[in-house]
Amino acid sequence: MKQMGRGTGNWKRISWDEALTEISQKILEIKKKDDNLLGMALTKYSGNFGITHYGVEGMMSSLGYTTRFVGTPCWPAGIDAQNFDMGNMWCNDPEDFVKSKYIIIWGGNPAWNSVHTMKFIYEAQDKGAKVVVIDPILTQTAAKADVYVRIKTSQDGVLALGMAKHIVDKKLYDKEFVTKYAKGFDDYLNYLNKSVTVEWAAKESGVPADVIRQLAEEFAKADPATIWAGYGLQRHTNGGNNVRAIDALVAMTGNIGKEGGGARYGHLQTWGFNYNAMVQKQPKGSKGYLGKDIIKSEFANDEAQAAAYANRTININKLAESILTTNEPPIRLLWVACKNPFAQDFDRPKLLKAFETLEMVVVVDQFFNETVQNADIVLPSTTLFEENTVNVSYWHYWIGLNEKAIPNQYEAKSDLQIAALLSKKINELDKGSCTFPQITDTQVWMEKEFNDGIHKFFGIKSWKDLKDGPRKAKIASSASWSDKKFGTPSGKYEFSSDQAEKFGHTKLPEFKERRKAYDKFRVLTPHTQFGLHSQFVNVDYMEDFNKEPYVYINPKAAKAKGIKEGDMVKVENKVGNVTVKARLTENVAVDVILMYEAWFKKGDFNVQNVVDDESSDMGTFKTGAPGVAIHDQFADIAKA
Amino acid sequence: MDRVKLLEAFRDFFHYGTLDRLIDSYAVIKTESNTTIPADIDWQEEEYTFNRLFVGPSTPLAPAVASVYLDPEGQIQGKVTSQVRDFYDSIGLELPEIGSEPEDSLAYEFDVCRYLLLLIKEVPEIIEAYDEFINEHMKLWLPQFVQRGLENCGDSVAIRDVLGLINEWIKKESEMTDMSKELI
Repeated sequence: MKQMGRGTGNWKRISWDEALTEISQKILEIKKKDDNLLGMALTKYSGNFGITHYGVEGMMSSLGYTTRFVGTPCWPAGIDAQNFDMGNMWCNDPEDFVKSKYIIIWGGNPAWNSVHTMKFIYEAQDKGAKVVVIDPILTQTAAKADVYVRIKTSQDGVLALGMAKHIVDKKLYDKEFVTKYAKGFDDYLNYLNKSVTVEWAAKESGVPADVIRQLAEEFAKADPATIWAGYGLQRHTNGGNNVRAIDALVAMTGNIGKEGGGARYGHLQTWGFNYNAMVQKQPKGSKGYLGKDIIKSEFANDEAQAAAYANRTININKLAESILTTNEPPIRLLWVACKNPFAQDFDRPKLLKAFETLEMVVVVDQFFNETVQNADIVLPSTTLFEENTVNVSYWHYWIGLNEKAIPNQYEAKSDLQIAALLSKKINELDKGSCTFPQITDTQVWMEKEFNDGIHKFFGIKSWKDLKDGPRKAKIASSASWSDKKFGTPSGKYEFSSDQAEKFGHTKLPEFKERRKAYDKFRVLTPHTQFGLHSQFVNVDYMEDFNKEPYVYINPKAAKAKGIKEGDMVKVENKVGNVTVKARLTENVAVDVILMYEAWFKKGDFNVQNVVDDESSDMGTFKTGAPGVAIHDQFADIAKA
Repeated sequence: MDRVKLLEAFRDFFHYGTLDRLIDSYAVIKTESNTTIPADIDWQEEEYTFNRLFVGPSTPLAPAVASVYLDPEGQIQGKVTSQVRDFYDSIGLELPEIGSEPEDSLAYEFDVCRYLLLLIKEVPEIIEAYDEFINEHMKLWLPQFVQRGLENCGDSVAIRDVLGLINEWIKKESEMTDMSKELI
């Protein structure tokens, strides 16, 4: 459908042919005006996901060299951290939690956000393992743990350093691991002895010194012991550093490469697909960005550019700022797919201004969300129930087919079908303008993603074997790095990383100051229990359980502000404001206010009104752009 | 009044949802209802309102699908759609693709009524099926649908008018089928 004036709510029904004609004409107009297609930009992430959805990137390549928003808002700082330390992000099989004797869940809330993993943690607990949760929030997972440790937000690295110092003082580190399989431990040891004390760590982290000592000793003595580093703790200006300090703690106790051990963050071991849909050739004669550029993606292989021209890449986490400031040529046409930027991207007020400068906005989506509200043309997208694709995980080690269960609903089409139809239409208007193949059967696309490597890894002869059910990868050990051969330049675990230094960080996981507060309260906007980022909160039955948003505030802070349970309050900072109902709880610290990120179809609640786009410290090395300091935000609160 | 032509016009009004089709089918509806077209219709606004009420892309304010009103949870493609699909099957009709668009969409239901009326001329006994569809199905949801449409159509002239005429149509058809049955 086509909106007559972005944001007006005045929609006209147009046919697919009319929509694709209008879009094609715009693409051809941009090419004529700029002599290239860099004015067409793609912002896309994992909101509608299957391996074949990389066909959206393929569609862009098949049209020419374009502008791509790259990187990831999720986990880039941690990815870089683990790559500096170990040469890859590679976690143990989550099912081997059952082998652990001591589990620290640090900055994550799996009881809400990874429910399928909790059964393995409970099983370990039943067998006698101790479960410790370290988090600024008393989460549901913390409630299930044996010990909950409240930490000052983004001071995780400090706590890890304090624990490491005590382990050194007590000589509880694994001498064989740090001498035989690691590089730079002596430097790290010197740093700890020179710059870290447990008392200092206690003061900075808010965790009492005796608790730090107890945790450190218990962790070092347990065999095996593991830490699950959640994505929350790396969404800071010192987030990558936090993860490196935690990795070091696991490494120095000899728990890396051990079943039931490990510094668990994520992995991409099962992602060896062909990326056939993604890899498309630009039309002959396409012009683009001068100079080499490589589109990095944490999941797929890099889209290496062998030609003289390249795509123009921009940090996905600076969408608003980049639209406003990118020139020669400016971004004229924005294609949004598998993503809801108005709910998930940062600094929403700035994004509204940025959208005003765009000549055309095309949004491919399943729901009428705020991004669709700000589109010119919305193309209805199928759900995973309406297409064939294949999926793996960045956590577990299974592969599963996604089989089409129902016909396309009404006029909805999959990303691949849209790409094929756009290709057909634009070639009708100007032959040779697009190379995307005319394949609209999503099963055909899915089949093309498989190769011998995938077959072997999962012990299947063909994708058809997966029709009987998901398969688990044939892994030699449930532990990552079980052979202790690391992917770093030295082949060892690197307490001291030259690569980290090359990317502007300290070689060692040293203390790094957290972001300075710019307002009275810290604002946390973590994942809700009732959805996946902005998705599913809007589903009718979910609304029965989660009718409206709240801001959570500690009773002491509320009293000082004259706020009572149920009052409407205004959370406001330099970015914008949110008016929402208050709930009082001691689950959050006195200097913290919390709102769960979510998109409610009723009302205009949006946490991105108070989240700016400040970068996290790491991410560029492996994902092409730094992450966002989502949890380094501040605001004041008052009765509305 | 040509009942078949009126049904064709009702069907087209809801099926296509484009401005030209709305204008054309409205003209036929008015002719076949023996009423005159008001002079001051802002058709552009009518089109936007039509989409807000019945199409989208935001959640339609008055969805033109029976299930929304007859299913206890408003579930489309559930039991109500299935019952309507079975009814179509019993009279030899089916949509080209099962499961894509619900059979109990208003435009399809009008088309089925039109088909049955045409058939009655050849096979009078088919009035039984027509009666069943009118009185045991359409009559049960159209008044609620019309009410919801009227509550949400704002300053609309044409849509308000059509909704009113649909209300009249279902009342008349219900009465007529009773009378026709007695005649058989």
